Amino acid sequence: MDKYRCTVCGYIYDPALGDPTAGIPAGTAFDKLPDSWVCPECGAPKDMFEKV
Amino acid sequence: MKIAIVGNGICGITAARLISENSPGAKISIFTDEEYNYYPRPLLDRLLSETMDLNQLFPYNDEWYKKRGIDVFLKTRVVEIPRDYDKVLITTGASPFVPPIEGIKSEEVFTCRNIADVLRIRAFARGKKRAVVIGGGLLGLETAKALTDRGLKVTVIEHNSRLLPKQLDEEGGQILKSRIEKLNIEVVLQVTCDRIMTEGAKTCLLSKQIGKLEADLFIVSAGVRSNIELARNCGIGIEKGIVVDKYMKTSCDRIYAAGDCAEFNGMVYGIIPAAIEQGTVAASNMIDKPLEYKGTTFQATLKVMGIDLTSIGAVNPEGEGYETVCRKDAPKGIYRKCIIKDGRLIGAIVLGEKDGIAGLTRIIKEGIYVTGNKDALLGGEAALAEWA
Ligand SMILES: Cc1cc2nc3c(=O)[nH]c(=O)nc-3n(C[C@H](O)[C@H](O)[C@H](O)COP(=O)(O)OP(=O)(O)OC[C@H]3O[C@@H](n4cnc5c(N)ncnc54)[C@H](O)[C@@H]3O)c2cc1C
Ligand SMILES: [Fe+2]
Repeated sequence: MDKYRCTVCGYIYDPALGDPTAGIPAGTAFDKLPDSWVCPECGAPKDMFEKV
Repeated sequence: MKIAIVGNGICGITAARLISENSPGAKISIFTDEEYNYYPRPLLDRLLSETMDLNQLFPYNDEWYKKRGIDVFLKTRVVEIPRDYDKVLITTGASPFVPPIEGIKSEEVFTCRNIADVLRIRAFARGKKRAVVIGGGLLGLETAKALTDRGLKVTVIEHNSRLLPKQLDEEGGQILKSRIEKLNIEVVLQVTCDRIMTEGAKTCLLSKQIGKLEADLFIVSAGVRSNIELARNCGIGIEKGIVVDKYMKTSCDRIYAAGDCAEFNGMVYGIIPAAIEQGTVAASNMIDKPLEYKGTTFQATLKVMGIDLTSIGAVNPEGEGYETVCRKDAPKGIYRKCIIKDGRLIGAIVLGEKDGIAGLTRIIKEGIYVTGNKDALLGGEAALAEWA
């Protein structure tokens, strides 16, 4: 599964880790994140992420 | 439509992107006095610690700009409102505040806001041993960690009685202090910097509380001030920042302002979420799609490896009528606190844990009533689902 980088702060969403701050379990693909999901480090919305 | 944007920080770039997406055919010119295309400032720490190269900082290549009809003019300081444009957006951001102290202009003293600053610090810090960071806010601590990673011995001085005075309370501050000290960073509280002094080959900070503190370099991290010279020169209404209404319009027709340079309802936010939201509102109104700005919830995360800390909303409210719930486990470095007013959650501190931050942010932003078992606010996402 692809990793995505926040273009606002550099945070990397790694599906292998999920996002514990939002209760997103490990193994969740970026596409499967809810639309309301935001960058846990800077609050940027999903459309500000780019595939790495 | 021709649009000029002054400044290519996150606010300017967000507005440019949205205008290009929603108003195809718009010609957008971005002017910046920096030498570089847009880059995320939160990555500057990694540039400073040399865990990231300069060329890894830029998320967008030339193609990205070209495809969107965006022209970027680098090294172009704007001193008057650009002519020949239908609308102008000022996103000049902010600059580090440097307190007027004797010796503060010495060559050993730096600030850290942009790439040029970091490259200067890097060059100067090579082979040096001791650094002092003046100011124990988010940026000060992140800078201290980056310098420590470079092998310097760092002392942070803070004039308040705790670190992160804005984002923490006394108890959280104590726990954070011990966590920071474990990273081999020295923290000295309630200390002011009264003077920087050079004696022969040595440079010292002079403080009435602790006397002399010698170091090879000093970083001032004492907050920021909005860049308002351009607006002032053009007769646009200013206070602390460029005054804007809920449409991000300034006092002048066709001229908008947003981000760290803008003041809304007496407030200059100075954080990325506000720069994004304000840039979004400005962009929309500039292409005649009315959108109102409703203020931004304060949110800040400390980006120091190994320390999880997020602060949301109002964590140090003044006055009465507040209810708080806390959970503390000092040995484990965990501290959680939620502040409730009139049945609504208005602020939260989450230190030493990650779970639940997204839920708390949502509950605060949406103004959800937190009836029932308030201790559940101190749990993770699963517990917070009660107020979903
Ligand atoms: C090291 C660091 C880390 C940070 N980390 C975080 C974080 O994790 N989370 C968070 O919320 N915030 C963080 N911040 C704050 C955040 O960077 C700012 O809130 C954000 O950059 C504001 O965006 P902006 O576009 O309004 O202004 P800026 O990013 O300041 O951009 C303004 C640009 O305009 C240029 N400019 C100014 N005047 C002129 C002129 N007259 N002509 C041409 N160009 C001009 C400036 O050089 C600058 O490039 C951090 C800041 C720093 C320095
Ligand atoms: Fe981010």
